[in-house]
Amino acid sequence: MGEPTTHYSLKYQARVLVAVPSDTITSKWLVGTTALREENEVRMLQFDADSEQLVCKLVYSHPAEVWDIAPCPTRDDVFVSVWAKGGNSSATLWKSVGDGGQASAQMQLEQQVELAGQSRAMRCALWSAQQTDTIVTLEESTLKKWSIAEAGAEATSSCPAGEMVQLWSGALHPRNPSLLCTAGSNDVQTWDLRNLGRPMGEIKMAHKMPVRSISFAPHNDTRVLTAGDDCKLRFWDLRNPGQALLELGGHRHWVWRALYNPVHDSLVASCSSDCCVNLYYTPNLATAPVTASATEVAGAPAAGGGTPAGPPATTPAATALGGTVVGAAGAAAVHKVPGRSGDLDGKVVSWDEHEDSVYGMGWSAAEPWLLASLSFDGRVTVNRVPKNIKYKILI
Amino acid sequence: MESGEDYAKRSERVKALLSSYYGDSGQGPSAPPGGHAQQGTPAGRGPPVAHIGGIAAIDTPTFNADQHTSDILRIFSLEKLMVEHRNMAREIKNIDSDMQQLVYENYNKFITATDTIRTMKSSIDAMESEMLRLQQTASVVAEKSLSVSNKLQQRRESMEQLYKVQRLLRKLQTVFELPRKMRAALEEDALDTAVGLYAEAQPLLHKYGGRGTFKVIALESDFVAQEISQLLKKRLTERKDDTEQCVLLLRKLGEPDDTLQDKYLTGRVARVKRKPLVTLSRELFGEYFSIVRRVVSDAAKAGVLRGSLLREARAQAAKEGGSAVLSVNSPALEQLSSDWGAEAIAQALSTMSIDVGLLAAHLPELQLKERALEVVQASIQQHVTLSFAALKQRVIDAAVAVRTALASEAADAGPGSAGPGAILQQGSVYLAELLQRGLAVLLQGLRGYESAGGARLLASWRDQWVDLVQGGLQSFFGGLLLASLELAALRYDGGDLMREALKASGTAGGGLVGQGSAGPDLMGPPTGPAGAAAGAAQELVKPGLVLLLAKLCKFLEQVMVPWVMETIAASFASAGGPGGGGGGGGASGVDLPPSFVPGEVARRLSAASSAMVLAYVEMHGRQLSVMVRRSTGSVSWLTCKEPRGPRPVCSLLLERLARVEAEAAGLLDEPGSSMGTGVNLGSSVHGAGRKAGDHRESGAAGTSALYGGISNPFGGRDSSAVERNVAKLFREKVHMTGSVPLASPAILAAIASVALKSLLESIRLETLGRAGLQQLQLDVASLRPHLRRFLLRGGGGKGDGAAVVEQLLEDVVLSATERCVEPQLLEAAVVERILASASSER
Repeated sequence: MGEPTTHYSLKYQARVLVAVPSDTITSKWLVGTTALREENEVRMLQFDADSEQLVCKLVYSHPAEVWDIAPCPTRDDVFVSVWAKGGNSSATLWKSVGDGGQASAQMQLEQQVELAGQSRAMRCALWSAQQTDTIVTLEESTLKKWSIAEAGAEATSSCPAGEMVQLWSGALHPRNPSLLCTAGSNDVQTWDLRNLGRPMGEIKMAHKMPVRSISFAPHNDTRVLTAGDDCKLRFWDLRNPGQALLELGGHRHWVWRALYNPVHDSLVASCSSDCCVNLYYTPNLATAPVTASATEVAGAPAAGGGTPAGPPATTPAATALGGTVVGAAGAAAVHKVPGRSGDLDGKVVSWDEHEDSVYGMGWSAAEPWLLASLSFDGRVTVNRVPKNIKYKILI
Repeated sequence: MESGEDYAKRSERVKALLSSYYGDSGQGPSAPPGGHAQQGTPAGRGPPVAHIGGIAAIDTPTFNADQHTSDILRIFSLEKLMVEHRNMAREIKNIDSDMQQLVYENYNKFITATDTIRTMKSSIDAMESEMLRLQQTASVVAEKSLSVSNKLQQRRESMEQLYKVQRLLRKLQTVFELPRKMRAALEEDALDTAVGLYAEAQPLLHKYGGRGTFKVIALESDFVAQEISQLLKKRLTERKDDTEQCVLLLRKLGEPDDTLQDKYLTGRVARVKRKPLVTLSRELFGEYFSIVRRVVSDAAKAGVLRGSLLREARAQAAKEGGSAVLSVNSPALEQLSSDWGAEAIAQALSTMSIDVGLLAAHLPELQLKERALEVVQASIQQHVTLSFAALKQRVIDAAVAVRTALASEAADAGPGSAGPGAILQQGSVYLAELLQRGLAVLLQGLRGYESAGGARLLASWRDQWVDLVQGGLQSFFGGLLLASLELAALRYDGGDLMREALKASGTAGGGLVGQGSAGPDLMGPPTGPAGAAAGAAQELVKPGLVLLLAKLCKFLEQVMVPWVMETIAASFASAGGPGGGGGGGGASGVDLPPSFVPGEVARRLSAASSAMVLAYVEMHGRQLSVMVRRSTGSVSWLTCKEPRGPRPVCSLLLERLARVEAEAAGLLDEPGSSMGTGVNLGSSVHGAGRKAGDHRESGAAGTSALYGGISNPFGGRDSSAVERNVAKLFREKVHMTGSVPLASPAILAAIASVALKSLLESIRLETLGRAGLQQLQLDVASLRPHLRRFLLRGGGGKGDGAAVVEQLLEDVVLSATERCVEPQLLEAAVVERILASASSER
């Protein structure tokens, strides 16, 4: 802390905040409100670095509740929203139409096409950054891949998520356009987008409670971060689904979103319904050797999926439980191997300015040290990575 | 213009001719003009070219004039002939003038050459006289140089002579300095150097010793040599070990004493005899010390086993198993004695060191005293380390026994068993007792070193001894801490608390591992039910055990650490006075463990305790969370029917909470417990309690305002949002962060908060109908009084947890209202009626 924080308040409750990836000059986020009985809206907020303020650039009227937003990776006036109305939820591709040139922030949205799911429980939409004509929608029990064209959208393939699996969210690999990870129930599934059908691999019991969020490391091809209702963050190597690399705690209630910093492998942020946003710094994990290249990623989870996943609750550190304390010291030593700076992997800051559960969070696409978070009461907060951590990473 | 052209042509031709005359050298420069001429030829000499086509050219060497004339006459017409004639005439004229010019130029050159030759002739005449003058000058120079070199010759010779003299003088200098050097060497006790110098100069002095200044030098050096020889003789009688050396030096000094030979021989003989003797005794003493080490270490092990009753406790555990081990009245706890073998070891070691001290004078080569001190230190260090390790092991064994008992309890679940609460309570009392008594007797036992004649033993290294005991204590606490964390299956999770708790194990942990390997040496591998249970109970750590360990850490922090501090201050304070211990510890070197740092130990224990409480809360919270979420997911909130009573999940929730309360209260709130948990909640709870009080007063008003606010949404849209935000401003911030104090109401409140928060989150994911909202209102209404009762039970337990729970109950209804398409709450009276009828039905 000690760093100045910036606030912005929305009118209604809100759950969604995503960074706009197409703008790499200014930090922009899209936020959508989730008021059941009001006219909802989607706002584009821009961080003004000079005045340290959040400015509302655009307001789109979006009558239905917004549950998720997938911004277009190349244009900032196109996005997909996952919306709910009267207990049904679906997704729609929108394009903003304005009088152009006018200074007024109020803009109209023009519906391009509705990406209707098979069920009425749309959960999340993902827009591929690699193949910008590809969108994936996740329903509770179905995945659907869409191909976007000028004329409209076409569902190119779909498949069921599997028995007893309730999908919640997912993530597309930043460099491998065919790799998709989804969070379904307590597990994590990996899919090949070229051939949707069965999951390529699975992390069984990735968390003791449902998994809420998945994020790919920006530079390490096989590393993912998951977070779930068991209040933990876990780091995985997709090639080794039986054993988490590291488990981090620090939250007191469900973790709704955990995201890798888009530039630095060693920075991770998470938000939780205990009203806190935590920042973790993992220099040791991030510098652990990387041997896999992007091409291996596709094959590795398939091989891993065939092996029975061990019980993830037990880690080898717990095996030496006898009368001696050798095991304990050994377990401590595992995580005590000092990195080049001698820092331990762990939590560095906990921002607790929010007064309600924090559901939305996004790193700025333009400036890697900015993190915006959104709590249910409609409050957006922008925090900066503390200077000492910044210097540790840079120097 | 015509004439200009002609002139140019002419000069070209002249040049060409010249070049041919002078040969090839002119070819280069003339080539371009030649080209030019060829170009010009067709224009100027058109006709010749034309007629040349038929007949041989004039300029060729095979030209035949007659033939040419006849050819021309024969072929050409008159007119042409006329032209030819004119041309020919003109060419001839041209050539004539060219020739004329050439002749003139040649003549010019000839004149120039003649002039030059004439000039040369006149110059050479003058040169002869000049050369003559030069020769004379050179001979004068040679003459003068010879005379200079002759003059310098004399000087050079004298310089060479002087140099020789200087060299001689330098040699003499050493001779003059001889007495002074000898004296200096004598004063520095470098006798062999002095003798060497004397011996070297001896021949010289012998030769010239009778003359002038040399006489003085010889006298002086002889005098010094005399002194040296006296000194050597004295040394010869005093020191036996370097007799030979002295004799050799004396010989060098030319001492005529005949007895020297005998003396030399006797010294030599003594040395030859003593050498194997010393070797033998070194071996013997080596064996002696190793035997002493072994005996003392055996005695230490036996003493530690006797003191800690570890074997008895293990045997009892193996025999009786289960919770019987944990009885406070068990012999293994009752009979803990202060006899840890310290006095016996101290006596043995002091006897040994006295014996060795007597011998030390006779065998200076063996450094017996130092080695004896080493043995004493090592033995005592081993004993202290073993003692603490044994006590630590007993505590860990006891904790493992609790775990085993809990596991078997869960497996049996028979009606006759004491129940998990009883086991936990028993275990907690046992552990506290074991720690208090164990540490007391151990420290008392170690003081045996100071009483039984050991004071002399410790005299020379008292500071290190104190550091040793303190280091033992430090690693004892650190080891217990790590073991507790391990038993609770807590690992480093990046959080602040665990970071703090595991802080020093990077450095002290290394020592622990070392001791860990020393420990089994004493006790053998942990066998019996403990080992077997370790494997079985590993997967699932009972929450109760975690709480017990949390309490253990708290107890260590708040009771044992202060007690140990006092004890140390009383009996193990460093001799160096206040602060001396720390300084001694720092300076005593790297091989000793760090001394006891109570602040750090207490901090780590406290952090570990907090982390374990949080883990306990999380474990229970997770179970309740799953329960709440499943129950919420199974209801179709939008379409459900009018509520008839609270959902069954409410009573299930309360039931679980009651069980947790029994567990926590049984362990934490025992009356007259020495743990003093009520006191240690400390200032943080005081502040929180006051806040909770404030909230309490406004409780009723807050609730009604809240309900009023809920009816508002049908009014202005914006106003509701504003009101909501304003209402939030005035409310306590619902924060689940921070640590949870080790007291059952606070723990219970924290667990209930997690459960309610989960309910809140589940509801926020749904869309509710009117009936759904009312159902939830009923649920909350039925939970509220029960939860209040839980949280307020146990006297003044109005911790901040209670406020959070109240807050969350309200938030659940508020969130449900927000997520409801038709927000219409039941009247309070209706709620009560339904609840009453529901409870009567049951």
